[in-house]
Amino acid sequence: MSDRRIARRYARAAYQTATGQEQAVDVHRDFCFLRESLKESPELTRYVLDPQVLPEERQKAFEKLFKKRLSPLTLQFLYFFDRKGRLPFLPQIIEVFEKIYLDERKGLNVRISSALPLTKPEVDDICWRLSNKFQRDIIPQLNVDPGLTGGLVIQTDDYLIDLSVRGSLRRVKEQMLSK
Amino acid sequence: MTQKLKPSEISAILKEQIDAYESASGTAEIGKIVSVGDGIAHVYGLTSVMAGELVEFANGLQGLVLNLEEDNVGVAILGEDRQIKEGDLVKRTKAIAQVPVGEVLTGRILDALGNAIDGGAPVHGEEFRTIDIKAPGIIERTNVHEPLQTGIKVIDMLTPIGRGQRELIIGDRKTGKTSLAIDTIINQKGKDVYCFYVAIGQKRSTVAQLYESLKKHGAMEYTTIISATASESAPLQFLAPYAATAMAEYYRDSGRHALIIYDDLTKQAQAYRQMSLLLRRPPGREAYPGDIFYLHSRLLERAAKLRDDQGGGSLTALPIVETQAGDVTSYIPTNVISITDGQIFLETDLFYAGQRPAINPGLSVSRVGGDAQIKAMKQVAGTLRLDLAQFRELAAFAQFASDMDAASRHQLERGERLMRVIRQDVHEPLDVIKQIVIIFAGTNGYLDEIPLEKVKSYEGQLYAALDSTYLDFAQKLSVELILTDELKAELTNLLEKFTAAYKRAGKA
Repeated sequence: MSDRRIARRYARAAYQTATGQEQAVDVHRDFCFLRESLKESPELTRYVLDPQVLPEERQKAFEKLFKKRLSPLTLQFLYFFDRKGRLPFLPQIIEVFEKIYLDERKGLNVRISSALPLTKPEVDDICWRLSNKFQRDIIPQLNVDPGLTGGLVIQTDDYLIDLSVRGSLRRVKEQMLSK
Repeated sequence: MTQKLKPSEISAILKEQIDAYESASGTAEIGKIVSVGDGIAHVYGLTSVMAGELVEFANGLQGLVLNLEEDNVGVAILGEDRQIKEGDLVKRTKAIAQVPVGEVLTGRILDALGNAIDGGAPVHGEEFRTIDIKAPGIIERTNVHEPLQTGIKVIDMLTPIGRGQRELIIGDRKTGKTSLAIDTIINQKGKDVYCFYVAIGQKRSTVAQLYESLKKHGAMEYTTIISATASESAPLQFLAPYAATAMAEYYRDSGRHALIIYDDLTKQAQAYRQMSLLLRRPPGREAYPGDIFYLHSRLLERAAKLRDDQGGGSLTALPIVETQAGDVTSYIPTNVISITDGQIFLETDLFYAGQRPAINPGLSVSRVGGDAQIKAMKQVAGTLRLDLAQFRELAAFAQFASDMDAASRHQLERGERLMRVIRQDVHEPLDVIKQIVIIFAGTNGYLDEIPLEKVKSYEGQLYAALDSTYLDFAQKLSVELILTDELKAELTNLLEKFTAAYKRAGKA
């Protein structure tokens, strides 16, 4: 079975359980925290993925690590994934969970890259325009990339809007070479 | 004197182009690469992508969407997959794969995407055509009725090929399949037939060699080579025949004639098998995917003879299939045999017995070619097939019998001479008039008294005489194209005189 399909099933089950207990917001926050932790600490990722670690051992370790930071329900999810041998799919499960969570709340994660840091009114303006386009509440993630030279690159899961000087130059080049 | 470019001119051109540049925001639908390897990428996202659409990878390389699955898209990478990484973005282009077509392609060597690979200038075709289009319908077609002369005696006599026909060339390795195809191309000189040679999974050195021999015979003036060699990725080898057919269809649809040679479809099927297995499509017989028949049938259906009100153009296809140890019952050969309008069988035994081209006249057939044969050829060839069949039967029998009656011996000798007559050197296609005369001589017994080893020299001198002494007759026949009683008498008379003179010269 493909990774995505597994991730989708577990994520959906987790989301339904969390909403049933009215804890979806907490679990989502916890999952975001877990995602960032996994990204920042390769050791943790290796530990999570390691098949040689027994579930009981890992449970103890998780308790020490996350008891204070994660809600009991999220911890329960982690133990459950581990017992089922699906912990290696945790990053995908988190990704799909977040997608379901945002879809339900009509939210949209948008990554906005710019050559220079954007000011608050600028970000608000971009978000307002994007929310009109996509009919969603925009959750911006800002990123500064001097390589763009100027302008913006806006990226969602399914779309890439390239308004940067770098992109324009590339298109001018392609158009000229095709003549 | 060389003209210098003025900087102001360049600026003016650039300014013009910049003015014409449309500032688009460049919104693109994207996906992310989940896995990549062996020329196939699995992409997550690209939710509204179409099957068969082109997508663009981060490094500018293109891909062809083949599988649309529940949560990912299978993409065949058209080129080297080394620079493509997991997590890279993939963009939709909303375009179907196209290649440039037009007269500018003649004399060039191109890759499966229509890019020049002969070191020459980039190709700018008159137009672009979708590479995988539906074949012409029933209404647009007419029956195959014009001959496409291959210049090879035994083919033009026994398995004639018509314009718009699909004739399979099948045989083991090293039996002269490619040589037959090349001879056919060489023979199209001055006949207004545009030729396309598609090399699939071959060695680069072979393609270079072939280019040289075509050039030497002046055939590159009307020929295009499309090459997807063994070192190219499987998707390119799979695409090459379709791309070349799109280029050839340009001529068919503009009322002209084209000939296309797929060398060979076994390799294309293998490339497609590789892709299909990597795309996790279920394997069937010999591990080929379920749609392997459709792969070849939809390609070969594009060969057609169009009706006069559709321009009357034609596209003739000569697919080549390689067999293993003469086994024509394996999967790909049986498939292609059933699709094509006949086949030319080449045999290793004949080849090593010195019978070249090593065509087996008994097993080779042409299902539509009879209509496309010129009348005179039909008159002469009618008895040839029968004579050869009787000879084969007798020859098999004669191996056991020590002595035989005069009639049988006579028939055996005639057969041996006929087998000699249908031998032909490579890259020496023969004019149709000369073919008629020599076969007429053979089947009517003029060669019976010529020693076997002299048949070749007799042939050579007869052709020379037809170009000089008997030029009148040759011209008359090429106008009439039918052996009227009068012409037949003239031919008989001519051959009697020539044979007598040849014998006298031999004795002297």
